[in-house]
Amino acid sequence: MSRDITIEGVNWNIDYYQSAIAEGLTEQQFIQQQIWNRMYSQFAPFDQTKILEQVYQHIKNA
Amino acid sequence: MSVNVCATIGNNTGKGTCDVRMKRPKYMLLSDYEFSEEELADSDSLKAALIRQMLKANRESGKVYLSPKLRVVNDNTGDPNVQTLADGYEEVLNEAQPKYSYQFTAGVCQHQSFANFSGWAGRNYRIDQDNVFWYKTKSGGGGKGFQTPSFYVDPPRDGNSSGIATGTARVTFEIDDFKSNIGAVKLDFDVADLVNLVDVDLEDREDDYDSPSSNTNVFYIGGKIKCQGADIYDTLKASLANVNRWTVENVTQGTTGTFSAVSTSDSLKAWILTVAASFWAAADSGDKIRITGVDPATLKAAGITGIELGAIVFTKG
Repeated sequence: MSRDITIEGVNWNIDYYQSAIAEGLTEQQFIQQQIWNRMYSQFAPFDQTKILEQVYQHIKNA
Repeated sequence: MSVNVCATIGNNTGKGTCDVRMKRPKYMLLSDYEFSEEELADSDSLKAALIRQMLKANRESGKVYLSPKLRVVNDNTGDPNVQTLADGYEEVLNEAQPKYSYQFTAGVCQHQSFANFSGWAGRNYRIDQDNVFWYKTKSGGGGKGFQTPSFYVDPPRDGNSSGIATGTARVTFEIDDFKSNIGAVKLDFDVADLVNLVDVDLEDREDDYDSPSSNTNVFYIGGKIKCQGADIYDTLKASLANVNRWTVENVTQGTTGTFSAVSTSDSLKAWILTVAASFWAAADSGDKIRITGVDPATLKAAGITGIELGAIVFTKG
């Protein structure tokens, strides 16, 4: 079972993204991926970016 | 060489202290699962084993399925085939196979689910009206179900004005199964109270509910209770919005993957499942990608009871 966290209605796989970060996934790449996937498309663009920055940092430091 | 079977034919026919009669079956349990000696030791042990096996997924072996409550049982076993010689001597040529019909009063959806077992060639345990669980003992300890070479359940049909409409299951057993090695456990619980699962059909909600191909690793999945059609999104939105509630498999390559994120769409009543990019990249165009829920036991541990999520297969575009 993977560690997970829910932020603003999206549940994230911490183990998967920690592995991706260890392999070089940058915050900018992560944010671009998730905007492409419309993960927080209910929010304005600026807010989407802020939330995804928060998600990235949380996963990185979990 | 002499022929002498006196030491091996027949046995004492005294009345034992812990004998029990086989009464009218109240439930059938369909399963090829074989219980261990420890699991059959007492009612509590058997209860725990039954719950565990009933919570297995349909795709797993050894799952235990419970029949609707059986209200009427008819013994349709015929007379054995006999032949009479000219002088009046009569001899049994073939024993009659035990045949029973069981009537039940389930609703249409439960009835249809049970009728889907027609053709079942697996084994069959029974719980009788006195709540005694019957099984076949194994030589190495433990027990297995009775063989059922023929199993058929009539589909639902209209009621009528001359009597209560019932469904009927028609079962033929192997006569030799009844001649020896039968075991029984008196239960102190109602098996119908243990686990009550219904199936959920998963749907692709992305393209006007038109499955099943995908060019991206993001899937919009909804679900409805099989037969009844009730959408599960509103009640399970939060509890299924979790990467650990779903599984993904590349059926073509035989590999399993993970979900990197799960979100929800109220407008589509769908869970938005994002498959790990590395797993998706490893799949070739045309590969079959199967998404399903985790097994009912894992769902139960997460507080989701009463359902088993089905599977939906996409073709990678």
